[in-house]
Amino acid sequence: MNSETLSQLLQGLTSLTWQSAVMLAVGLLLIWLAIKKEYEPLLLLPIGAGAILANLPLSPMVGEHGMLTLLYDMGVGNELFPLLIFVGIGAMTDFGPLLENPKMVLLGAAGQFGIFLTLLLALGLGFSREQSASIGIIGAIDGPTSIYVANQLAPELLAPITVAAYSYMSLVPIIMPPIMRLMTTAKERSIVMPYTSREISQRTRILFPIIVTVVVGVLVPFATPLIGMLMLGNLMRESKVVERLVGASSNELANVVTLFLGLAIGSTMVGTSFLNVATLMILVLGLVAFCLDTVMGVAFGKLMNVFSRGRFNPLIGAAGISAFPMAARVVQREGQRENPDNFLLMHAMGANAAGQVASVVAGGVLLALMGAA
Amino acid sequence: MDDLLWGLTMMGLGMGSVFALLLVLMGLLILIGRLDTRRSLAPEPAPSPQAEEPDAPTAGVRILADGLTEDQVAAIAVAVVTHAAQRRRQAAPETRAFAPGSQLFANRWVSVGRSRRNTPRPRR
Repeated sequence: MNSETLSQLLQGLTSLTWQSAVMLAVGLLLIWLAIKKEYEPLLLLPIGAGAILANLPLSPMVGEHGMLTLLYDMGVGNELFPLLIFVGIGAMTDFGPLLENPKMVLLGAAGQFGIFLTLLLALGLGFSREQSASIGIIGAIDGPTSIYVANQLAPELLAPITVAAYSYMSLVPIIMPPIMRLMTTAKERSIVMPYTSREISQRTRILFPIIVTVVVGVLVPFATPLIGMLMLGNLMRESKVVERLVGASSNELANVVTLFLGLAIGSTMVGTSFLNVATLMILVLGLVAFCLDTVMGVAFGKLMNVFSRGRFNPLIGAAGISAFPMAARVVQREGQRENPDNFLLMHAMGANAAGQVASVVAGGVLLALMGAA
Repeated sequence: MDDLLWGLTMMGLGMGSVFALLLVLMGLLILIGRLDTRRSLAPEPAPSPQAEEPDAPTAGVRILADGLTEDQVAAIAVAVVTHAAQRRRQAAPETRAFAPGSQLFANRWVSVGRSRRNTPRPRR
């Protein structure tokens, strides 16, 4: 056996760089978080697997004809996958609590302040305008919206932005409560808000997705793909005549696309381009965006408390972010922690559903502003 | 400094647009809700004088049951129909009314399977 044969045999081992070794460890960490801690396992597990497969030495999975690159070109590069996921999300989301109390829409808007505050911070840290806007969109706390906007404005930052968005989304039950407690008094947290369920007719439920699509589509055309797909899923759900399509969208389609999306995103986490200071800063800014959203949401809740003469529980403001339905569950838990008889879930679900719509609108507005800049 | 000013402008314009858009949406939702409520509260049209005539011939089948008013008979009929529909939803594949894998009306075996699948196995 000559030295050339030996070097060919050991080609994989000799091509291993420290960056790829670190990325393999990162991939394993993501898989561990998904399995052991159950942090967004549906996405973190494929992302972790994609990162490992892409960073193995001389990996044939990435490159011109690599399977992972093919997946990326097929659905991430052209924003197809996030839009398909939105069909599934729309088919799974019940906007009933929002329709019962439309005023909750305002809380959804307040929950988007983090986007623009983080944009300012990113600008201060030296990121370009497009990159700053992409980093800011982590504050929408909505995975598909983050991917869609980041891919249009700064595709080179797509991987760290996606990882930050999904990782922190799974940490909502840990990130939000301390901020909520810090910003509210025990008396405010224990405010009981009576809930009177109002029956929403099927006509209204069907009109809602159509009206939202037309209004948002006309006023912010950049948001049409996002809102259109979200509302298509919801229209199918509420029409009650295409149960098979609803089932397929919320199960098969969403699951398959989530797998492909996770693998494709993971494949972009190549050590040489991923391991840098910018990635670290994006991860920190992502966390800041989540915190700022919660702060501004609770602050707006306190404002509504003042206007309602103390009858509005400011905790509900925190549910205005888009992490559906985790944020609403956290609000319910915090409310009951102070007053076991308090039942804020349905109010919080209304604010949370509003956050879902507002984050898409904010993404479209951001794209429109960047397009105009 | 330029960037900071640009960022502040973006924030003002961005949040202003988001709030304005969602306010429009809120207005529309409130309007639809009111129209919906009004429609559901609208009084039933007054019965025509012909219908009140005792001897007028009725098109439907008149059910006569001892000791029961027509409203009670109707309520029982609705309950029986609802119960039958519920049984059909839960029934075996050859008689069920909904497609296999239905999210809304899963049969009892599918329900048990789903709940078992979602319950983590105890560690040994």
